[in-house]
This record gives sequence, C-alpha cells and structure tokens, in this order.
Amino acid sequence: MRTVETLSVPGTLPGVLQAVQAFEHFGRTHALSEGAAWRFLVALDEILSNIVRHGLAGRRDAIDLMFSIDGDDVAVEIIDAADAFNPLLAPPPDTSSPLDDRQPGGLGIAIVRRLMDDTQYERRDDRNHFIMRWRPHADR
Amino acid sequence: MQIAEARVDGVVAVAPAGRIDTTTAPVLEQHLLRLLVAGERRIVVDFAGVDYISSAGLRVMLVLARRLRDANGQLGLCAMGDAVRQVFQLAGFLPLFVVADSRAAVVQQIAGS
Repeated sequence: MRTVETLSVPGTLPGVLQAVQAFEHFGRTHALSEGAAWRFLVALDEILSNIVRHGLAGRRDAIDLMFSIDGDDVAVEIIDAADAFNPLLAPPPDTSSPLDDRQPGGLGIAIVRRLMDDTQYERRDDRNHFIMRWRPHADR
Repeated sequence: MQIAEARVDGVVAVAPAGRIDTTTAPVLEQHLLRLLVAGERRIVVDFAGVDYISSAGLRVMLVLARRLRDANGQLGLCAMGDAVRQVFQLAGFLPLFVVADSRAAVVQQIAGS
C-alpha cells in the first residue's frame, strides 16, 4: 500500500530544517530502515538548501514536499516556484584532484545522484519538480 | 549543535554530535576556525557522535584542511560511521584527509608529524 504525506515549508534555511525534521518523523512512523532514512535526510538538505540559496534567492516562496512509501520503495518529490533549473544538468564535480583544486560547488547534487537509485527533474505548471527514490537492495 | 572538545598529546579533538548539514555546519565551522585562530595546529574531528554529513559539512572540512595546511598544521578525522564515510567517499574526499578508525590512532598519526 502506498502512503503519501505532503507538506509545505517556507523557502528559508529554517524551512530546510523543518523539512528534514518532518522526514525524520515520517521515517520513524513508517519504520524506515536507518540505511534509507539518512540518504533522504542528506538529499533533502542538498536539494532544499540549493533552492533556498540559488533558486529563490531570498524570495522565501513556499516549497512543497511529497514523501511516499510503498513497501520498501521510498520517494521524495520537491516542488518549487523558482526559475526553471534542472540540477541534473549540472556538470559533475571534480572528485579526484588535490586539495587546492577542489571546488565545493556541484558536490551536493553529485552526492544526491549517488545516494539515490533514481533522480528525475520536470518543469511543470511553471514549477520545478525534483523526484528522488531509493529502495533497499539485498546486495547492499 | 553540541560540540565536545578534549586535548591529548598536543592535539585538540573536536566531537560534534548529531547531523552536520546546512543548519549546523556554520556552527561547527566557527568552532573549528576559532581553535585555529587561537593557535591550535593539530586538530582532530571525531565523527563518533555524528549521524550524517551533507556537502555543507564537507565544505567545512575542506576549508579547515586548507587553512591548517597553510599554517603548517595537521587535520585528522576519525570514527566515521557508515553514513558519514559513504558521503566522504562519494565526494572523493577520503584521499584528501588523514583518516583513522579510532581517535587514539589518528592522534598518534598527527601528533608525531
């Protein structure tokens, strides 16, 4: 059975924390494995802080979230009204150069892509929809 | 964020607790940079009490590592749980740092260097 929870948080850094805490609660309610919960908590922090800092850039518009769980399959959808921006098109960061050449930019989305099984972006009704899913695998 | 601090063999060990993310990373960064400004040159970050870290936390480690290196100092990391270690690994950050399983081991590695 698929269970869905929706919420809306302000597009501010305290709003990011509110979303993280809401997912923690969602995870506990649905007995999500520890291995699944932290992936989504990290990913929420990455995607939401990007939207707040770069997408909304101080506009504080609400960000809508949808958490869903269907058996082991967990998904989070993040919807914002900032200008169209597909984070999946960001160039991959350099992950092999020495200390001085490392740039923190782009790391967040790269981490999200590697933590999740699947990430999708759509622009729909003048809003950005970012969807990410992960399900535990026997081989993990 | 709660941050514990201890000193062993001329090394200061900093142990943050909970999550290191957009909300808490600035607190940790200020704490660590204050130690640097106070003249500390050998710093260990102990992740035993850390649930997970996001790129906001990785950025703090990057900044601290560069500043310590420029001051002829040393940074060591230890006691990473699976979640923390995986994020360091996914970002290709593990080779940039001195990392050990235990605080005693990492203190030994940087105390003598």
